[in-house]
Amino acid sequence: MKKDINLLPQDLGPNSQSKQLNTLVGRFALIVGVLILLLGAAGALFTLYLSGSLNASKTQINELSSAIAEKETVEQQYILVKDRVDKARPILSEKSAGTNLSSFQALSSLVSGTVSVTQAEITSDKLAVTYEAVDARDYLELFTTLSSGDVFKDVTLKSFSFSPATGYSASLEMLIK
Amino acid sequence: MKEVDVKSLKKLGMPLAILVALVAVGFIGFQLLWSQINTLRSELALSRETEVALAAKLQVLNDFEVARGNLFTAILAAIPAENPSIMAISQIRNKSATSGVLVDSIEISRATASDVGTSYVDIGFNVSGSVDNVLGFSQTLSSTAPLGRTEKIDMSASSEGTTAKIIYRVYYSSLPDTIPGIADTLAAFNEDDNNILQKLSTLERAEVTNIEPQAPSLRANPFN
Repeated sequence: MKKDINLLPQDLGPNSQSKQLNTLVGRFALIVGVLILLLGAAGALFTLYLSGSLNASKTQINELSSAIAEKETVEQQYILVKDRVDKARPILSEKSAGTNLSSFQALSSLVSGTVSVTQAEITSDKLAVTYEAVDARDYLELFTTLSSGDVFKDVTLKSFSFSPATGYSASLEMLIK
Repeated sequence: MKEVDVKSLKKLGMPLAILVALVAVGFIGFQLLWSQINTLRSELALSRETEVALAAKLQVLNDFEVARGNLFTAILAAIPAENPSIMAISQIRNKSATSGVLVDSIEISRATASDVGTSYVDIGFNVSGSVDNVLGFSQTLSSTAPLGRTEKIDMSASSEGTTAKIIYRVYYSSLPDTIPGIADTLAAFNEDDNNILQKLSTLERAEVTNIEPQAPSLRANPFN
């Protein structure tokens, strides 16, 4: 039968508690070492992956930059066209006398009987029109339509006069909506 | 008893020292690795962002290259780089002939800078003809290049016909002198931009006659 013989006196030999602690610390150190190695390896691999991705991305950027540089003429034209579009926007969006021509034409179609347009001033925000009519009753239809229409936000009768030579003259100023 | 503890501690010292060293090395190593990973990740994110922006820019340029056709020439004719008064007068003359009106007393104002980065010139002229022709003429002017707007129409009618004093404003603007950096983004044309492009590109351009230089010819009598 096999038997452990300890020739050292009990006092001189390591006690079992310190032996256990020693083993425990050793094992713990081993586990920590292995963990550090594993994490280090994983970190290194991830770093390699990131470096690879970064290099691939930089290569792609270089290729795209070269492709864009080759299209410099197209880019110049694009910038010019874009610049012109941005500058044309406020010009086209603002009202002008030209855009109010249709209002004036619509107004001209309303005159009937002896009424005729003798003077007109068309600007971006208003129409100032002078009418002449032999019979004052001919204005009735024009004035009725003007007062009920929704083209103008304000219609002002600036003057109304009579001359034996030309008849009734009416000057209207209309502010366009 | 105390002697034994010291011995035990001495034996424990080595694994403990290894453990402490491992923890210290591991901590420093992970700090370095973590900072390296963070740097790489931020660089990669930035790089991918640039990549996406460049790809989008290239796409915009490719699309524009396909669609541009004669757009560039048409747009430059619509808002030229220099004072377009002569072109505008040419258009006024052409349109007056086709609209059946007479144009005279043409005056050109000094160029004025507007607050939207363009400059403009007011061209004043008298038009005479029938009311319909005068109005039709005023409307057709806005469909011509260079881009212009009728600012004022002062019309008077008589038994002889209609005369109108028209102020027509034409615009121009210097060319942009810089292009954005390679990595700067280019915004694609939106619907509003496309509508404006459509309007500008369909403006009727003035016909310019180019006289080609002719080769010298021999004359029998050089004094005649």
